[in-house]
Amino acid sequence: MPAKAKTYTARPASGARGRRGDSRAQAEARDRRRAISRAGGFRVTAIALLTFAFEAMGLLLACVREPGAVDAQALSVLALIAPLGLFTTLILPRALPMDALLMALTNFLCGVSIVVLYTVSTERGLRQAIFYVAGLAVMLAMSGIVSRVRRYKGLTLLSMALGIAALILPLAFGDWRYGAKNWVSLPLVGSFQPSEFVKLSVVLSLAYYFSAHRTVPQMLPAILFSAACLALLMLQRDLGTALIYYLTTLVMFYVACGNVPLTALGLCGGAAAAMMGYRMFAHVKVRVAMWRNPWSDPLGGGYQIIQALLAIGSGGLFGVGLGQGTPSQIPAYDNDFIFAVLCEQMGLVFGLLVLVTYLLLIARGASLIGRSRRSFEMLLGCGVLAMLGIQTFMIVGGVIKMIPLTGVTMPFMSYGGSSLISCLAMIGILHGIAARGQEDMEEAILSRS
Amino acid sequence: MTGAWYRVLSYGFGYVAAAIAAAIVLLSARKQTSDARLWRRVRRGLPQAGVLRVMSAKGRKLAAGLDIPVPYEGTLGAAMSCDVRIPARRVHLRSAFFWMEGDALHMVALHRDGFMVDDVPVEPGDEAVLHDGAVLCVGGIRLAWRVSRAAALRGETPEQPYVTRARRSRAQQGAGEGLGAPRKAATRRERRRSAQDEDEARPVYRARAAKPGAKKPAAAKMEKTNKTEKTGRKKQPDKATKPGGEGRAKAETAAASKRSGAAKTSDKRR
Amino acid sequence: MLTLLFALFGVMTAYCCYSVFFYGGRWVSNPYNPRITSQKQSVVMGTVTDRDGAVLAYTDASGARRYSDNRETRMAVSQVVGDSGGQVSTGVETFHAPYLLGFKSSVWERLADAFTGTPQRGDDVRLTISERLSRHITESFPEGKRGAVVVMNYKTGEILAMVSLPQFDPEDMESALADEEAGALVNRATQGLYPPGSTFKIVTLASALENLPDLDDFAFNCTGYYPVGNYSVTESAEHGVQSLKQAFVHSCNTAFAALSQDLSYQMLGATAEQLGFNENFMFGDLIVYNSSYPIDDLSAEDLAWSSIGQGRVLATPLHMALIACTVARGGLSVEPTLLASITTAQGGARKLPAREPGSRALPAAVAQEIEEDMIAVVKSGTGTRAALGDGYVVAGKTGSAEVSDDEGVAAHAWFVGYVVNDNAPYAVSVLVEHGGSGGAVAAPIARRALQRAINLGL
Repeated sequence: MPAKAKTYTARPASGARGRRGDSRAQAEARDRRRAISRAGGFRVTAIALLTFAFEAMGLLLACVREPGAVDAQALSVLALIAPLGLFTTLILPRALPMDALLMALTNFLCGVSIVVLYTVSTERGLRQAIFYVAGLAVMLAMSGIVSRVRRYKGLTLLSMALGIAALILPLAFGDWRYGAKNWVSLPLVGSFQPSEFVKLSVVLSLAYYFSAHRTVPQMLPAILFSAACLALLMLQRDLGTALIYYLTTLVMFYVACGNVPLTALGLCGGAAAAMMGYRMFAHVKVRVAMWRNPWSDPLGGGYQIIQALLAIGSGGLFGVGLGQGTPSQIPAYDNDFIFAVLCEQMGLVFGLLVLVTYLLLIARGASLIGRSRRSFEMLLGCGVLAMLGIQTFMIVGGVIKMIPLTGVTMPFMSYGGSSLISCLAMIGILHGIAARGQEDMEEAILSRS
Repeated sequence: MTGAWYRVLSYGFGYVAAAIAAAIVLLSARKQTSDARLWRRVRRGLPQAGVLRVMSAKGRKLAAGLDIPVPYEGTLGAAMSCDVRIPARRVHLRSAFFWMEGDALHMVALHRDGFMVDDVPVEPGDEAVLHDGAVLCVGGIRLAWRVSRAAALRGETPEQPYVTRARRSRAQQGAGEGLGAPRKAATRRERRRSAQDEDEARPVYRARAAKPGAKKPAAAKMEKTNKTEKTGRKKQPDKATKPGGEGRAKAETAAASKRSGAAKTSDKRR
Repeated sequence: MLTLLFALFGVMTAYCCYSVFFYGGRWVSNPYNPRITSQKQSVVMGTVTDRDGAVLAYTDASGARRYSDNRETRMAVSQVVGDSGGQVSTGVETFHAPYLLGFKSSVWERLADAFTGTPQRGDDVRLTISERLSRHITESFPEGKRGAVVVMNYKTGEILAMVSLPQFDPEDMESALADEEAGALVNRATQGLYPPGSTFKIVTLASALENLPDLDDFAFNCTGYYPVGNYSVTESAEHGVQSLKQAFVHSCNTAFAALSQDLSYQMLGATAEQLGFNENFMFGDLIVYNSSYPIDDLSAEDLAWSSIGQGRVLATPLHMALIACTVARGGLSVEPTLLASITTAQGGARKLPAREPGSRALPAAVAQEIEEDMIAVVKSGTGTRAALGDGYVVAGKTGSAEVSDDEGVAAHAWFVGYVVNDNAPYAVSVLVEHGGSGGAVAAPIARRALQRAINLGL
C-alpha cells in the first residue's frame, strides 16, 4: 500500500480492479460495505470453529478420562461454552456493538483456560465456565455503555468514589491470602478481589481527565486518584497490582501528553519507590532472592518457582498430555502459575503460541483504538491495553523466572471470577470503542456520497 | 476407554492443540493486516476536501511541493492511522482533528507542538478555521491549505461531523442537548446556527477541548472570550448555513436501515 | 508504546526458549520433581546395564526396583547408578529418568503400546562403565580410606569406571540413610572438590610452556624453601639445581613457585580456564561440579601456592582425569560420556544426547612436551609405582595436597595419568583422602586399575 509513497496524491487503491473485474467504483463500494459491516468474514469464522474444535476435543478427553466412567459434567460444560463462543463470535457482532476478531481471540483464550482448568480440577473448570458466561454478559454491558454514553463526567466521578470505597473494603474486613489482604468474602458471591474492578475505574478516570488536554494541574484529580489507589494497594500489600496501576498511569500519561521528560521522571520515581519497597517489605526481599536463586531454598521460598520451572521443563515441546502430569503439585496452579500448567500439559510450543495470541489481541485492540476519532476513546482503549499487556508480561515473566514473582493473575487464564470478569469488561470497553469507530466511518461514508 | 488409550490420545492432543493455536495465530494475523489495509483504502477513497501543500522541506519523508489530500473530516498527525499523515518528528502522533464546514476547514489542535495558523499560535483545545490559502504550521512544517473545487462548490451544504444521530435528531427537534454542552444551552454549532437564524452577532469564544467527545462543562470555556484576537483567523460563524433538512433525514434513514443489517442500503446513496 | 510491549514479549519468549532448551533437561531430572515419582506408578522403569550387558538396575515383575544380584557390584557402582528414591541426585536413576521413565517416547511408540495392550515401558540404558573394573578398583583401594577413582577412555571420552568410596548398598537404603555422615551418597568423583596439589603442576607447566620463552635454559637451585612475599614455599627435600623437566619429575614445589612468579596470574588463570577451571560444566550425560581457580588479583604468595595446586584451587577427580585426557589427545579436550546406548521398549535405538566436539585447549607441541615430562615422572620420578610392564608406557603426575597445618592430618594423595598406547587409551585419576603421599598410595591404585582395564580389553 502506498504508505511510504513518494507523493501523497490520492491514488485509487491498487486492488481496485477487484476479483470480479469490477470497475473502480464498484470495488470501492464493496470495500466500504466491508469496512462498515461488523461481521467477521471467513477467517473469523475459521477461528471460531477452531476454538470450538479445541474445546470439544479437550472436554471430551476430560469426559472419558476415568476408565469405564463418563463424566457428564464435562459434556454440560462443553454444551455451555462452545455454542456460546460460536454465537458471540459469529452472530452477535452483526447486531451489537462488537468487533468479531477481538471476540474470537478472547473466546479462544477463555476456552483454553476452561479446558485446562477442567482437566486439572473439575470443580474449578465448572466455576470458570460460569464466570465466563457472567463475564460475557458484563462485556456486552460495558460495550453498550461505551458505545452509547456520550457524557462521562458523572460516570467518572461515581467510579472514582466507588473505586476508593472498593479498595478500602478489604482493608476494613478482608481476608489475608497469599500474603496480601485484597480479598473480600461476600455472602452470595463468594470471595472476590476488588482491585480487579478498580482497574476499570482507574482507566476511566485517567482517560477522562487526560483527554481534556488541559495543563498538568488540571489532570491532577485523576493522578491523585491513581496515587490514592496505589497507596491503598500498598497498604493491602498487593504490590504487583500497584505496579500495574503505576505503569498504566505512566503509559497513559505519555500517550496523552507526549512529554518525555515527565514520563522519564515518573519512571525514575517508580524505580525509587521499588527500591524503597524492597527495603521496607521483607517479603519483597524474599521474592527477589528467590528469583535470583530459587535452589537455595527449594522447600521454602523457592518452592513455587521451582515447581513451576519443573513443570515447564517436564512438558517438553508438546506436553505430557492433557490430564497427565502432576499440575496440582504446583502451588497456586489455578491462579498465578496457570501458564506453567499450560506448558506442562500441552507443551512449550502451545504456551508460546498462547502468548502470541495475547499479543495479537493487544495488536487488534491497538488498531481498533487507532480508528477512534476522539482522544477519550483512544486513551480509554490505550489504558485497557496497557493493563492487559503489562499484567500478562509480569505474570509470564515471573513464571519463567525472568523477573521476580509479583502475585498478579494471568488475564483470561487464571481461575477467578473477579479476574475473568474484569478482563472481559475491559474487552467490552474495546468493543465499544471499535463500534464507535465504525459508526464514525459509517457516517463519513454516508455523508460524503 | 483404557488408561493406555487415554494416555496416547491426550499426548497427541498436545500436537493437535499446537496446530490449532498456530492456525488461529496465522488467521488472525492475516485478518488483522487485511483489515488495516481495507480501512486505509476506504479512508483514502473518501472524497477530498482539498489539499495541504508542503511549503518547507523537512527531513526525508516530506519534500517541498508535496500535495497531501485532505478528506472532509479526520485526524491529522504523524501516526499511520491518521487521515492526514505528516510523518515528522516534532509532530505528535495525533496532532489535530478537522472537519469541513462550508468551504472552511475547522481544525482543533490536540497537542502543544507548535501549531500555528497564519503565524498565530493555537493552543491545544482551540479551534482554528482555515480558509483557502491559509498557512498551517505544525511541528515546524509549513503547509498551505487549498480547497478543492468540488468542496468549494458544495460549500452551501456543510456536514456535521462528530455529531451522532441521536444528537442530531435532538438538535433537529430543538432540544439542543449535547455532549460537552452546557446544561441548558445547545452545542456551539447549534447555537451558532440558531443564532444565525435569529440573525444575531455572537461573540466567538474559545472552546476548551471543543471535540464532541469532550466531557467538560462549558462553564470553563466562557472565561476566555477576551482572547479572541489571538487566533486571527477565527471567524464569525455566520458561514455555517443550515444544512438541508432532508439531506440529514435521508442520511438518518439510510443509516438506520443499515443498522438493522441490510448491507446494500448504502449503495442507494451512490 | 506498542513496539515496546512487543519487544518485551519478544525478549520474554526468547528467554523462555533459552531456559527450557538449556536447563529443561536438568529441571526434569531434578530430585524435587514429583513427576518422576508419580510417573513410576504408571510406567515400568527401564533397565540399566553396564557396557558388557550386566544388569545394574531393573524393575521386577511386581514393579519394585531391584539392583544387581552381586553385592559387591551393587556397591561398586552405587553412586553412578543411584538409588530409586532420588537420594543420590546425580545417579543415573534420577538424572536419566526422562529416558528410563518413558518421557522421551514419541506418539507412535505410545500408540504401539496402547495397541498391544502392554503397560508402557521406559527405555533401557546401557552405560559405558564396566562393573568388573569398578569392583576391582574397590578391592584395590586401601581399607577404611575415602576417595575416588575415575578411569576413562581418552579417545572416545567414555567413562570406564567411576568409583567413589565409601559406598552404599542401594538395596539397603535404611542403613545408608542412617549413616549419612559417612557421605556414601555423594559421588566424590564428580562432586568432591579437593585441592589438586602437585597434579596442578601439569597446568602450571602448560602455562609456562605456552607463555614463557627460553625454558630450555631454566635452571633453579632448590634449597628447600623459596621466599615469596612474607612467607616461603617449602619443599620436603633439597633437590639442588634442576631444569624444568627435572623439577616436574621430582615435583619440586619451590621451582614451580619460582616459575609462577614469571607467569602473571592472568597467564596462569587463562591456561587454567582453557583446561576447564571455572567453567560451568553442562555435560549432557552427567553433572560435574565446577572446579575453581581464583582469578582475582592474587598476591605473589597466593600465586605461588596456587601454582602448586594449593590455596584456593579446587578440582574434582573427574576433571583431573579430563585434563589427563586432554594431554593424551595432544591438547584437544573431550566431553565425558556415560551413556553408551539407549534402547526403546520396542527395541529400536534412541538418539543419545548431543555431545560437544572437543576444542583445542593446548597447542600440540605443548601437549607433546608435557607428555614426555609425565612419562619421565613415572619412569624415574615420583610416580614409579604406577609403571606397568609389558611394554605399556604410563605417563602421569603424582600429588600430595596438604589440607591442614596440623601435622597429624595427612595430605590427600593424588595420581593423574594415562597409558601412552593407541590400543589401550586409558586415562586414570585417583584420589585418596588423607592418603599421604601420592606416589606411595595413589600410584599403585592407578597401576592396578590400568592393568585391569588392559586385561579386560575394554
